[in-house]
Amino acid sequence: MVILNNTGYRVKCHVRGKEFEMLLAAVPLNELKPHEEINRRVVRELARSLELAGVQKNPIIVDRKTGVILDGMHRWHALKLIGARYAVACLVDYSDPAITLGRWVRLYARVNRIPAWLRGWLGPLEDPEELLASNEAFVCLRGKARRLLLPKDKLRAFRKLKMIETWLRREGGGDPSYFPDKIPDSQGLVLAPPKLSKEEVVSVAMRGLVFPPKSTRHEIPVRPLYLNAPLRLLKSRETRDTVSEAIAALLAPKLVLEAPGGLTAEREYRESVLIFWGW
Amino acid sequence: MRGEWSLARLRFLPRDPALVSRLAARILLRVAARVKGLELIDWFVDDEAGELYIILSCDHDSLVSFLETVSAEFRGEGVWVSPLPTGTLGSWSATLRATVLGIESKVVVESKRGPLRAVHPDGVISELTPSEIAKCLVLAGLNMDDAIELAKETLTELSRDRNVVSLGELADYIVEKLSRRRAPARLLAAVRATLCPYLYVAFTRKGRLVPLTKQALLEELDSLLNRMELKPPPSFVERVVERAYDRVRLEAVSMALAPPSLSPPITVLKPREMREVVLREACKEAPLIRELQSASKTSVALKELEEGARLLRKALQEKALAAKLYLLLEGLWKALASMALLRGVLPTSDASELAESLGEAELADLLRRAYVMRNPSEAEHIATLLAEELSRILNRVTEEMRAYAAGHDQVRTS
Repeated sequence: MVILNNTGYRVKCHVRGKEFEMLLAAVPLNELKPHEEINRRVVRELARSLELAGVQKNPIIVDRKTGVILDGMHRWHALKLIGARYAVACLVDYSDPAITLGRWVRLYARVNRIPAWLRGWLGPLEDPEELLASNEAFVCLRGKARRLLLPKDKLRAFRKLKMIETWLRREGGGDPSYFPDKIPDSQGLVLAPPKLSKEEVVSVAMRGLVFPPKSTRHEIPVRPLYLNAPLRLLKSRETRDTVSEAIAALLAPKLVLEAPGGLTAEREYRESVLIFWGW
Repeated sequence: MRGEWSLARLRFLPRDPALVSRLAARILLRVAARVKGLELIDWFVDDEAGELYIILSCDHDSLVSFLETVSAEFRGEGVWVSPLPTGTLGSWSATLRATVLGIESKVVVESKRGPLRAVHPDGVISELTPSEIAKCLVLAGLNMDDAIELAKETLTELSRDRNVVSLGELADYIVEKLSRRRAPARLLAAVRATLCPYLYVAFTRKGRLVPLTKQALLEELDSLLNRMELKPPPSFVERVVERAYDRVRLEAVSMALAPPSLSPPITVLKPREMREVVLREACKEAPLIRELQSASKTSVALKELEEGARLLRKALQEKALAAKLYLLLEGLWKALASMALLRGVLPTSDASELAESLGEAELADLLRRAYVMRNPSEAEHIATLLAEELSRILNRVTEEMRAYAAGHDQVRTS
């Protein structure tokens, strides 16, 4: 399936000598496919915040060829919850190598030994950096890393990993901290999920299935922020083209500012950020 | 705005964006003027996050001194403010650039359908007429002929390949056209302000900053009418909203033309002030609204009925024809207003419109004739007819008032 949007706000920019193109447009919510589970509490809070603000601040990142949501699963659910018909999406070509897919490495700071029940899932000692560079799941404690023996099928592997995380939490490990593709220096048990490929993400989402939360970490070269698309438009009965054009029209007079990677605004953005400044 | 700037952010408590906007307008300009080598480019309040974002052009030392002074001044006003790390490695600011990525952006439209429409910042899509654009241009100071011509030209050109344009795009387009004709900068600023008043005037709703749009004024007027439980005549709402929005446009123009050092970049109205804007304009169209705010419908209706009867008596004794006509017209309006209140209709100041909305089409015609008459012999005839009509309406309202009171008594006893 291809998202049939040819109307919207087209942004072309040059990142590291290569051209990167995205289309900011309205996409019917029922054409989008999530690939990760969501946290219902976060969705409810987000829905309340959306209603109060009256705008969708940041776009959902979507693969324009398949409609798979790369980032913004919670926003998609929250928009559905408040009765919106459309979401503002940043439509990108997922196959573009500039869009990278990484993993969130978990740190359980309160766990300082490998629980006995986990030992049966572990392989022999290996070099942590080599394991990080590979696609394999692993655990690491005090610089000693072992491969995590999970099922070959990635969806089953992630479900097993979710079970392990639940047990770790129950055993007093608390909520983990997440680190983008790196082994944190801090004390505690490091748990790295297997690395997924783009094809695996698309294939699972297209089957209507989802990975557990924080299974993927997508990085696009440039992330548009503060689009502030009015909810009235996203809830309207107008056609997709009209809503897309209206959103594009609202964006056109805004000043676009670029912040190189490292901006912290609500969260840290490693990639470059485009801020649509003003009303 | 070209070059490289710093983006800093401050978290504020309490989360009152109106208060923070007002203080920021004053404090940021004042402190920026005091700190050497620092230029304040722009700022905005992210009310959802409870943060104030500031764009500056400065070095690191000036930035730190600026943030410290601003925080201290905010705290002095009772708002707790604290700078948050915004850049890499926890630094206080992130670098912002306007053109580094060589961004090309444009609106792409797949196909041209129907007539051109306008999208407002709150997402309302409305028809775009040359007369509305022309009105904005006249308010900005353009002469009528030029305004009409420019409005038509703009609409024709934009309609070629677009279905929806935003007011911001429209303003950009017209400003560019005018600047090519070497229009003065003040006119360009005024044009932008009349077309996009929301850039200069906002209001707060549930603790959030909201651009002031026609729809927001319409919602405010609706809630005012609902509170009074009165149905307005068909075009009343449109007229009041248009008048109130014109006031907002003029406020925006005065802000756009004021020197930046004397005026904050945006005026933020509190809900009470916003209600007052709408109420003031509604009262111009329906003067009894002010009285209805503090008295019941029946007591106002009774007062108007008594006043109508008094004016009829006075008119019948009056010898001068002009004064007689004046008293009769005034009396008729009072009588009709009284009737309207009893029937749950909002009495507007236009008596013929009021008569029409009360199903008195013949009386409405007579009133219209009275407004335009020129001939003294016709005036005498009309005065007689008006006196008859006034007497009839007064009798009818008295009967309706009795029935209304009886109905209320019945309700009370049952």
